[in-house]
Amino acid sequence: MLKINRQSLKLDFRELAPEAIPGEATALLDKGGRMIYASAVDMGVQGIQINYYFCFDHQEPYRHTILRAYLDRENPVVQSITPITSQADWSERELIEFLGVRVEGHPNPTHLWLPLNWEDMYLGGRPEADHETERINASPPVKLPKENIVTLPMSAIPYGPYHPAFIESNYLKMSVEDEVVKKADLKLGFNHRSVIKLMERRDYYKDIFLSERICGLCNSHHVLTFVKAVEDLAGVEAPPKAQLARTLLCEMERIQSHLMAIGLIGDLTGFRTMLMHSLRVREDMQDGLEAISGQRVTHGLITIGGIRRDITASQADFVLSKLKAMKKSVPELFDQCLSNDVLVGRLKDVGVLTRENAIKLGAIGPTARASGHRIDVRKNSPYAAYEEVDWDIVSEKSGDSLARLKVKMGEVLMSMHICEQCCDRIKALSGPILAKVKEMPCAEAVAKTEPPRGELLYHVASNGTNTPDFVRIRVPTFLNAHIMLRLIQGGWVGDVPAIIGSIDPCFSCTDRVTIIKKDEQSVVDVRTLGGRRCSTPPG
Amino acid sequence: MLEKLKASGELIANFFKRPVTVKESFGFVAEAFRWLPRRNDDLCTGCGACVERCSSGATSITDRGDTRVVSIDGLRCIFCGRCAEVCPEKALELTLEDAPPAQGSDPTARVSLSRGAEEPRPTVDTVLKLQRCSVCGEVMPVTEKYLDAIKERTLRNLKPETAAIVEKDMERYLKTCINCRRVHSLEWDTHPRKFI
Ligand code: SF4
Ligand code: SF4
Repeated sequence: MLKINRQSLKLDFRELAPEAIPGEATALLDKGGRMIYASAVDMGVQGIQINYYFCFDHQEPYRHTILRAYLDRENPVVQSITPITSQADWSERELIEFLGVRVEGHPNPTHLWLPLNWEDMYLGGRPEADHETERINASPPVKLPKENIVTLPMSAIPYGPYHPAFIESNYLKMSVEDEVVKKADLKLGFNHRSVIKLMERRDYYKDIFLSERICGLCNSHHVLTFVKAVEDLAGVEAPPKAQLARTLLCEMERIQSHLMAIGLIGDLTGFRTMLMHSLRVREDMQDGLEAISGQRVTHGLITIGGIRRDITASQADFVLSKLKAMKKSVPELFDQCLSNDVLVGRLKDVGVLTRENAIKLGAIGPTARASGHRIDVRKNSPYAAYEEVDWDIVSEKSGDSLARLKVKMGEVLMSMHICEQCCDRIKALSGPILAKVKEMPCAEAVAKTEPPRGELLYHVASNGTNTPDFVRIRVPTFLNAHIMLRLIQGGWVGDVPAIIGSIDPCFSCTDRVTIIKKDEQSVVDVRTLGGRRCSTPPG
Repeated sequence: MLEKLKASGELIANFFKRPVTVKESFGFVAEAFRWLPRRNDDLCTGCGACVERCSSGATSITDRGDTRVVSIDGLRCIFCGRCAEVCPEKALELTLEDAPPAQGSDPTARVSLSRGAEEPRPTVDTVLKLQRCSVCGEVMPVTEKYLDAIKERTLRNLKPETAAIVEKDMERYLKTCINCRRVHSLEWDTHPRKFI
């Protein structure tokens, strides 16, 4: 009989004075902690609450330390810890932009999410009357915003092939000298949907469907993490069959997501046949997902306390038959890809992330594992039924794009192995699939899972009602895209797609290039080079 | 020469083969596949539980005059099935078909993603009658059917002899608007505690 232990994380909330945060963070990092995220919540009278999340992957699996400080709402100031650990970089820029916290000593406090003319829109050039009407000055910036690579006078050059399946619009700008990328910067926030804010207004059961729609490729993981946090709050545990079903669903999702990513690496490096073939192979998994959940993308199967619909033996058999077919086609596809010298040559020794750097920059997921840093939430703090099935972490040593591709390939095969075990057990198991939630006490919970791209964290606080008090989400791309920028800098322009593809961010398509004249160190407007004027305004 | 012959042979053979593409949409319908919910008009009492829980705001209640329309907007529905889960009357069921398009439109029209007002939006409507107050005749914001269902459910849980006593009072209590209830509560002695 399957036995699943209670799997909630051990949280250690430590409340400090804001000044004490850098010192305490240094101490935790020296003890082998890893900074996961920093978030802030406006708590009203109490002030702005800042949380710094630390975990201890290999030392104490479930232990998490959360440093917490309350800042004055009128004058929220906190010392930056980015100089101590660059993993805090984007988190702190998020604090600056979303909560108006002044992070002192941040090395690069530029706009990451908000529009570049934000100061003009709201703070600076806004007449007093507009405060009442809440009107926004949406005209393009009159003067260029602060010195920022994104705002340098540049022109639009569609850079490299991209896949329209990427809906999230990120905006990558690179300063290029000859063929070498000197500086790269990313602008996010074009598609900001304020999901975490919407979640605060809806009840927990509606939030499930909202969190499912955060990401198309790892939607079950988003639901599972949210649901795990809520289950911790409510003190319920999903029955074994539901845990197995969740594991099955998540692994199937990993298979399809990785196959998509593998194909996209091919596509981005100009080998579109590989994308077509991997999508063809992936279709089997999509059929399997459709069979057990009813939908190809948003499965809507996981709910608080278990799963919503039972997975029958015939459905499990269907998935098994699909897996059997994939056992033949997937290794064949991988062999074909890896025996293609052009593809391998394109990826080998490109964008090398050493193990030291992976640990220092806080790499997670396949990106970390390709550099020989064996972290995986499924092993470090196991959830669902991962302790019950036979599997191992897939890792590579070399840390280049090829290694990241190989890790993804290895994980597809490993996930298929896990899926088979889950299907076999689900067939043999009968029993309840849903545990009832009785009450929702005032508490906070943090839950983590390992989606295809790395570690995902949800922090849910309940205030005893049917809606959460606040929800904070750290998605895997948040850390990995930061690393991606580092890898791009100093590499060849031609290698950029290979690096982007191998990191596999949820990334889209507005890429722009600047040319810096070699000797003069000045920026050249590409519009003056081509003869045809480009209609896109700078910025 | 031989290769060329082979190739042309294959070419000719392909002329007479069936296309290799297969019908995708609805060629394979999974057991668990879900599409628009369908409401059984006979069972629905217009209680509004589905409106409360709908995860996308597709379900709505509109009271006009003395009718209540419970409807599902087919373009907003995400086919999650939450409404079917919570419906106390089990009146909803997720189906494999689109709901019929709104009246007067082309019946062959499929779900269109455009949100233009003139587009036929697939809707699932149930029209119910609202209760009028038995004293003043004002329209109350509950349906007749819902009150009947409540009454029946409450009486079912009582002992038959008690049920017989309270039935009439209960009928009068439920079918009176809140104002008239306040006015007549002393005179009628129909405090809800009495029924419990
Ligand atoms: S009876 Fe069911 S379908 Fe009708 S309003 Fe109530 S919950 Fe909705
Ligand atoms: S299926 Fe879901 S989205 Fe559609 S009406 Fe029901 S609850 Fe709303």
